[in-house]
Amino acid sequence: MPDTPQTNREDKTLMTRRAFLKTWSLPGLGLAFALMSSALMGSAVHAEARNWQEVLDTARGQEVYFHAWGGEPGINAYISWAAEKVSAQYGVSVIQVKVSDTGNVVSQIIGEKAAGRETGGSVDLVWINGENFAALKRAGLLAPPGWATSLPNWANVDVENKPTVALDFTVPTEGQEAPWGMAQLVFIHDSARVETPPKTLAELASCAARNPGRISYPQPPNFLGSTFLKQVLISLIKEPSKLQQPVNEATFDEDVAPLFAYLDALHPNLWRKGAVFPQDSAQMRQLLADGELDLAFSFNPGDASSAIASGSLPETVRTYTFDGGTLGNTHFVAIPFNSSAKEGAMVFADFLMSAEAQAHKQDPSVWGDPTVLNVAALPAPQKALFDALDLGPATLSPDDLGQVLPEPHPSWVSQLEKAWLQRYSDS
Amino acid sequence: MTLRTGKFWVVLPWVVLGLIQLVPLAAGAIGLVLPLAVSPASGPLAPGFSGQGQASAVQLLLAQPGLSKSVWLSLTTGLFATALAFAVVVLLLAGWIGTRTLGMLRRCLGPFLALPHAAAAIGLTFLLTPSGLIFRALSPWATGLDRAPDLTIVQDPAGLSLMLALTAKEIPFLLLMALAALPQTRCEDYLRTAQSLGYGRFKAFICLGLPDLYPHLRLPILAVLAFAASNVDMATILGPTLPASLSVRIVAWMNDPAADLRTAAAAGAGLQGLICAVCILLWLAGERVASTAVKAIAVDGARGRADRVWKVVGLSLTWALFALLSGAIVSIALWSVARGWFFPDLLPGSWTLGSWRKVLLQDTGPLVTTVVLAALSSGLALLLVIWILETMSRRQLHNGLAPRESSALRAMMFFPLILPQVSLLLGIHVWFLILRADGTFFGVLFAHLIFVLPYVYLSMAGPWYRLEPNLLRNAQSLGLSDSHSFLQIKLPMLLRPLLTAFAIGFAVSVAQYLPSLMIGAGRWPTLTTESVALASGGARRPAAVYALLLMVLPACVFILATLIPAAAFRHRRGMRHSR
Amino acid sequence: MPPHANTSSGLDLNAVHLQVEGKSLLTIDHVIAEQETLTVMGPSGSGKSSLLNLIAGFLPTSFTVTGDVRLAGRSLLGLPPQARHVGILFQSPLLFPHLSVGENLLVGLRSEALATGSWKLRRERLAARRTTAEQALASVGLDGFFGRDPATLSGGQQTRAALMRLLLSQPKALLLDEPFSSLDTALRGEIRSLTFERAKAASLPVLLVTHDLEDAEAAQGPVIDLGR
Repeated sequence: MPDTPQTNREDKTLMTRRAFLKTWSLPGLGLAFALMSSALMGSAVHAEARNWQEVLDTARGQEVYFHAWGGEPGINAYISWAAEKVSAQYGVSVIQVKVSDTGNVVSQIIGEKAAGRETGGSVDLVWINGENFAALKRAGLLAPPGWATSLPNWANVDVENKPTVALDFTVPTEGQEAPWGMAQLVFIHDSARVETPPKTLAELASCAARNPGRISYPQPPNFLGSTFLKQVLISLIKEPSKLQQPVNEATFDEDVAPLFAYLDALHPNLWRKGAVFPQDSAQMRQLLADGELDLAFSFNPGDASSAIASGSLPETVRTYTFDGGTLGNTHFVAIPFNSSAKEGAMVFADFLMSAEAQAHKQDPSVWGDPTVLNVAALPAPQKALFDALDLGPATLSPDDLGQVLPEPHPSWVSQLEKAWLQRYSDS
Repeated sequence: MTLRTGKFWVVLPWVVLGLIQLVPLAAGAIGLVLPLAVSPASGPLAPGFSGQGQASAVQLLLAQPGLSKSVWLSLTTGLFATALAFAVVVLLLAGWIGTRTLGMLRRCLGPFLALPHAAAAIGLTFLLTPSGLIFRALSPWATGLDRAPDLTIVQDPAGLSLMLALTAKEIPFLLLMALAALPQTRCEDYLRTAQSLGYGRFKAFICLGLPDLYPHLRLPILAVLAFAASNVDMATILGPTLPASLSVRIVAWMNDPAADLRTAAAAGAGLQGLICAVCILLWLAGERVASTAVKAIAVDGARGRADRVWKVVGLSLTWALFALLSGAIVSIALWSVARGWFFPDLLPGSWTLGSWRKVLLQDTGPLVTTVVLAALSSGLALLLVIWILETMSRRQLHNGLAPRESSALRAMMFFPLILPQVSLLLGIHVWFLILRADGTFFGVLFAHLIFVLPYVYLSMAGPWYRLEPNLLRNAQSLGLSDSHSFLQIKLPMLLRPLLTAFAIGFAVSVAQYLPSLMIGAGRWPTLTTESVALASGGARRPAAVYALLLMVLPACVFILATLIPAAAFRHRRGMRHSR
Repeated sequence: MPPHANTSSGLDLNAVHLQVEGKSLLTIDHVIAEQETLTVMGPSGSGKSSLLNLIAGFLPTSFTVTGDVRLAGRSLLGLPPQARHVGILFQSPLLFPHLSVGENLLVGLRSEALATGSWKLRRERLAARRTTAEQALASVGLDGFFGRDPATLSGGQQTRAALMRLLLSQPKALLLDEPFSSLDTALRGEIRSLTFERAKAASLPVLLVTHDLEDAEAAQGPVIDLGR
């Protein structure tokens, strides 16, 4: 997911979650729980006889305020396209509220809860995943479980091969958010300038040392920056299995010591000597275009091709991943507890999961975001939509993307961000 | 009966004014203290999360990494940017008062005044970064570079680029305030007197003219000071990020899902208020010292020399900063139509109108919201200001006094400008949440009005009180009623300042960032919020379109404000110059 | 009229001709000798003030000037106002409001650079300057006024202080821009004669601009009436 920035928090808010997750912390168990509960909830919804037609009827005429990160014109245009479609097909009008930080939306919902606004909330649907989802779920600020798995297009979602569609950063979604797209950390380089880009952390460090000032990473708590920290941590931590569990405060400093040793050595050779960091992936891409950076990060394997198509990156840029794989996850849409247009939001969420919307989204000249669907299992006419896509010169095929590394437990993110900020902003 | 209704009409505007100026102030203060007073877990900002260790808001704030750096940054940016801008304005006035050059500069101020801070910041980034327009213009022929160098220019950790931008942006404002105040002072007479006593321009102005002018500049300077110390939009784009200045971090904390950070934001807003207070106190203390020094130097008998050098320094500094802003505007214009534009090409390799098409034809929401908000808030502010001025003047005239500006009113108008916006709005936001007015159009309009009203008043009050009271007495003695004299004499005579005040209010509203962001709950995106969001990421092309519109819109209104009276009074020579 | 040739003292208005926007404003050709007062009369708009501004160095560039203005043999026209040594008394006394009456006189009082020298020497000089200012005040009946706020003085007192401030700056010519018009009739004569007397004592050429006939008569010098 492109830059839905995460935020650091004090550990005390993690306590409740930690207690809750102690039981369900093993990924396998969590997944089983997610699937089970989604099936159960789904049938419960059907049992209430809220069939889809009823939802569609209620949704007609509703206004859905869709709060979505608005920093990427291509994505905004895609959302406008989808909004026009649902307006024409279902009479639901979707208005994108462009937010610079999904954290804003979460705090807005919290604020409304505080002010006692149980209905008529200002957020009807929100683009979300990871820590923001965990925070809302924990506080009970989402629509009741099961709605997402009751959507007609859920049937086509590739639950089997893409476990993250139901397990958001190790937290079971329980049908409280509908998967929208897939993300995997990829690197973009200009092949005209750098022929053989660094493919391991060691190469990255030596590349920066040879050619100082040309490598950087987005500043945590930016989503992508934190992902980079996690990527490094996964590669360097002594006991990788610890990452699947909540942070152990007692050993945290020791666990992350290799990460910070790596960063301490890397920073003097970074862009601006590590005194300034790019703020997000869009800025990184712009800096790559400007020739200031040799490497840009993205969570969207189609990003580089889209940028070539829009003329904002030269045609010589290419995408690649690290040997040994990179982090990947799924991004979702969720309905808050007090949404004023729950049915309309469901209709839109369902449309976003449709083959038509997913194929259009994967087109690099549109957005280039990979699908959550099981394309192979789609009916022929819908599969054809995907087969017709020209993924562009700089997009890796699913095989070339290599191994997807699972996200660590969300508690790691906030702790890492805090430790990073402490270390590099106080110095 | 008539007396009663009369009283009612005298009192009403004050009530409305109080509603707009003072109630938010009180509400803001209470809204700020509320979350501090109650425990974070049960406060209005922080429900739902049962926390352990109930740290107080202040403790939470103090636990934030890099806090002292953020505070230091806010303090230094505020003080240095203000002091620099003031120094340049003083140099400029000292060297060039009464000359054609100053008149010419004054005519150049328009575009720079209309340039919103966010747009200026965006343009300066485009201009100054190592891959920006300046380096492109010099590469590779002069610098030998075929790649952008790795230099920390913008977002530098010490905040120098932010200070430079604030300085450049505040000089036009302070200069305008000074030029507007000059006719109300005897500064120029004192200057001549001092010159005829043998003093050079600089000693004459600084020691003998400025003390008369300065009281008129104090409030605008304090407003600049508070603004520079607490600004968010410029600091988001140009300021350091590791850590950012306090105001930027407050907004980030406020938008954090973690309850404790929201509480820390409230404490931070209090701290921001404190920072502004410290800045103001330091400034006032500096005033004292400077005033003593100025007096001591004034009476030492030395006549002061080196005029010519300082004259050139003042003017070149001003032109350099104006050139910087102009370069920023050019960069914005280029990026708004650039397609592929790679270093070191001076001009884009391919062009596109795609971003413009998107903003003007497809995604018009922010544009429409901006125009409607600006027109309504400025229009309402103008009505209210005239209403207040007219009732006050009538009362004074009826008591046989020449209408005079109430200094209490003036000070009151400056309140919202001297308080840090982020603190005030954070406090108000709590109430908007409770009243469910956040995210509504009228909520945003009200928030805009708080900040538009003072500027409309300040630009209107001068011309209003410069109207010849005898002219109005004449009208009275000719048998015109108050309303007739208001409608047929005052309003037509004040057409030009009225339109100018409207244009200023319009420009102020267009440039508002935090009110739209914080009260609008993201539902009322404006050109400013969109451009800051896009520019703080790297989406240059759409950010450039928004930034350019931010400048063009107020400029159009300013041009209309000049053309309409020119057309209306084309046969009236006495009305040709603004009064 | 006295001849112009080689006048090394006095204020020489040598064939001065003022034009603004192509319109001829005034022509004047006169040498004001030391201790002489030339009175220029005329209705408003006749260019009286422009003449003063020309001599003092405050004329806007929109004016076209031919001829020359010389003071003690030196042409003034290219010089900045502060280098002309032309003192001017305006209609209002214009005492600097942020300084005391005495400090206003100190502003006028010329002296060598104070910056150099030891601390003690500096203090002595400052004390000497203060004494000079106090004496000057006393000489026009303002003893003990050194520390007073100018705003608390009467109009006549302010004009006297302004006159002394001007004289302490050691001007080589004196311009009077209707400085008595704002005073009560009773006071006017007194201040007027004080001014002329002091100017004469300092051997200054004086140019008086007025539309008060009494002023002109009291000046006892030549009169040019621009209205005629």
